[in-house]
Amino acid sequence: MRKNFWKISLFILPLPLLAYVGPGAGFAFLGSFLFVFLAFFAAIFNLSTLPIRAAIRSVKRIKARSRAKIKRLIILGFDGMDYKLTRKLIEKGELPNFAKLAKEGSFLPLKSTDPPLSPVAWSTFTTGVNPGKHNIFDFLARDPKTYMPKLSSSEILPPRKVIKIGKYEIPISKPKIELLRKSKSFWKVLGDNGVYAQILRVPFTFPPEKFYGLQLAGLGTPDLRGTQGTFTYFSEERNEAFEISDGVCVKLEKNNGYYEGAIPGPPNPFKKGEILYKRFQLIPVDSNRAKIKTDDGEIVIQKGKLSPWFRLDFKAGIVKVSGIAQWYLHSLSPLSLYMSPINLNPEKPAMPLSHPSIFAVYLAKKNGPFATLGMAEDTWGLNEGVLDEEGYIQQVYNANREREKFHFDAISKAGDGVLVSVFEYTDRIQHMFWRYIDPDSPAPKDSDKKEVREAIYNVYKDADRIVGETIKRLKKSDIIMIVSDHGFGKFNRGFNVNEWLRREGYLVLKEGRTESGKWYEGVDWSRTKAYGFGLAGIFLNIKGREAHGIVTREEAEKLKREIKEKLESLMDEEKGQKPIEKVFLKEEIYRGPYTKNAPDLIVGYKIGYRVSWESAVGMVGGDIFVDNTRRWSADHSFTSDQIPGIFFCNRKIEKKYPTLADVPPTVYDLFGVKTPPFVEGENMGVKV
Amino acid sequence: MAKKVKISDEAYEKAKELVEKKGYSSVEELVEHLIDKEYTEEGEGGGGEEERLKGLGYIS
Repeated sequence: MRKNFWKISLFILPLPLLAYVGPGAGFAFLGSFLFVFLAFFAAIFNLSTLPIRAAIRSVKRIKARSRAKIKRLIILGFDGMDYKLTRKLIEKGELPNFAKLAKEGSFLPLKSTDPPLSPVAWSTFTTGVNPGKHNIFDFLARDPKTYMPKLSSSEILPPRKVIKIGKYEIPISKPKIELLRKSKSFWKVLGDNGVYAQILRVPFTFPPEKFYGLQLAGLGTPDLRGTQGTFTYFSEERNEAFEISDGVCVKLEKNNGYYEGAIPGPPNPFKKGEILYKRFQLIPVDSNRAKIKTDDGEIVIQKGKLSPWFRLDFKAGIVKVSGIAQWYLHSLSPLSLYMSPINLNPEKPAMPLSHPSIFAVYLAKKNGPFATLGMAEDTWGLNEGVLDEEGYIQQVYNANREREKFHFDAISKAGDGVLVSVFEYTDRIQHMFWRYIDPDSPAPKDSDKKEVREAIYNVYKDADRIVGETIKRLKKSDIIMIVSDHGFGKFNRGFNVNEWLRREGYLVLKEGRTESGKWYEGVDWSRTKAYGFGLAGIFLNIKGREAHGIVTREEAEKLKREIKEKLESLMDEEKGQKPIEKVFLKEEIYRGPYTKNAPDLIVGYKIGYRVSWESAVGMVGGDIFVDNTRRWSADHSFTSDQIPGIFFCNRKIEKKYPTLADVPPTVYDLFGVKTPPFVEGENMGVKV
Repeated sequence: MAKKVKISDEAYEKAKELVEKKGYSSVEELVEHLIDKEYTEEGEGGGGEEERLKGLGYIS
């Protein structure tokens, strides 16, 4: 009886929310008084030892200052900024601030990782080590027990302790949110040596780590649904399932002159398989404007203009999960309305967005709500046609303007130490608008608007403006470096690697099947020797490693060389081109304790080719080569040598061929910090 | 919150050697990796997280 009373009291007592953790997990509560007591004593202990810790930190800071060659370093990152295109635009006189840096300091190609994918490359920038030591080999990692994918950079696990009462599940312990990138970030090492750092939106820093400084998480941060970004499309005519993108389409009906419906939100943390909804009304004001009304407030939206952020709180009993979203109205007759993925509300973050956690709240209070989703630019909204090109460009620049504010605010406040700010709009614009600068692109080029057709040149020019504004704010003794994680190239043909493996006899489907579903549904693992995974990987189905592995370790050596040779001599007969530049064996390019997690073969495509959309989600079937007719018309899973990133510095450097891994040791040298032995990059030798 | 574990001096020396040889950034990273490895081998497999991948432009 007493036990039941305690369980029932959980429903009655108002308990504070600890954390929301996305699909299949739920909310964690301060479910026991013991936790409260422990937190209280921890706080007392922290307060009483504060003076001692402050004194130790102060001594470290004084030592750090005396060792450092410089006082302040600013590193600007422009995701995907391409060396060759930057050089071309400098030569044409389009990028005066970059040109000035090149003339007075350094401008060099920056070698990326193989594959030159953002999670892999930025993790090498962060740590100064190769992927075998930081454990990030692609956007995806696979579970060898199920062959299923997961994000490579972070993991969200539900609370381990749950009380089940009928159809309800009450979490009583914390969920686990873990950064899967290993090794040590350079800001952590700097902090251990008394050097302060501000790290703004460096990709794959979710969840943020604790160190001596401030951090705002970047690419990889999920939306309120726990996904990497799920848009919602409201329409009275269409009620379709988006085949590829997994967007959500909601049909609305007009009654008494207005529309009424529900916004699908995050999963219900107390009932498995259910999601929370938010009721709303859409009231036409005139032919170009409409009012959106919820119980949290109202906003007037305008046709063709991305709305400001609008708060959406989802209630589950006594708990409220807070999000923000933007609207884009295409038309009122017939209704066509886009809503962005629901971002975590930075004023009330349901998951950790920053270090310290109050930092995101401070930024929101000071600057207003801002995009917190890792990939805030909805590339699939544009691909599916629910967000038009102008709307997408507005979204990209809105998100970037928010980040600019943080960046310039940080420069004005930053004392000694390091500031790293990464801007991703260069990557998002190139992915989606390359088709306009590539005459051979099979993707649609349906806009005649200058802002669309010249979107790529505009974003490079805008990056140049940010550089100029930053330089204006520098002190004479400050050092600035500008880096990108990789370059870019056209993506006109998809290579269906899984279908190729099937035709070569390495991948076998179950009897009677000619194609598979997503994630290898229909693959006969008992007869499969190899499978394509992610954007550049091929894994062998190894006995003892994969759940249904059949390839012995002895056979594996011969098999991977055989596949490598065949792929390197493969021809796209229709185009008369070789699609693959080089296939790497993992042991050739990676070393370190996590090398065993890497794909056995890494495919380095020639510019113009990439893994097909179908193979990228584990599908088998169709033609081996297919035209890429999506608006996502450029990519960067080629060999790193073909698409170097950029390196600029306002000082000369000694190294002629710098790499991303060289950034941390160079920073250590500038601040007089001994480079830790695990770091592999080399000091670039900045001439201070 | 981080927890502390006591190990013998000999084990710690071996751990330091391994850190250097294998390329870990610290003894803590080595210990956590070894525990994760054992833990994963015991488990059933997570079944992937297809839902969390939604919206990842590169593959969606």
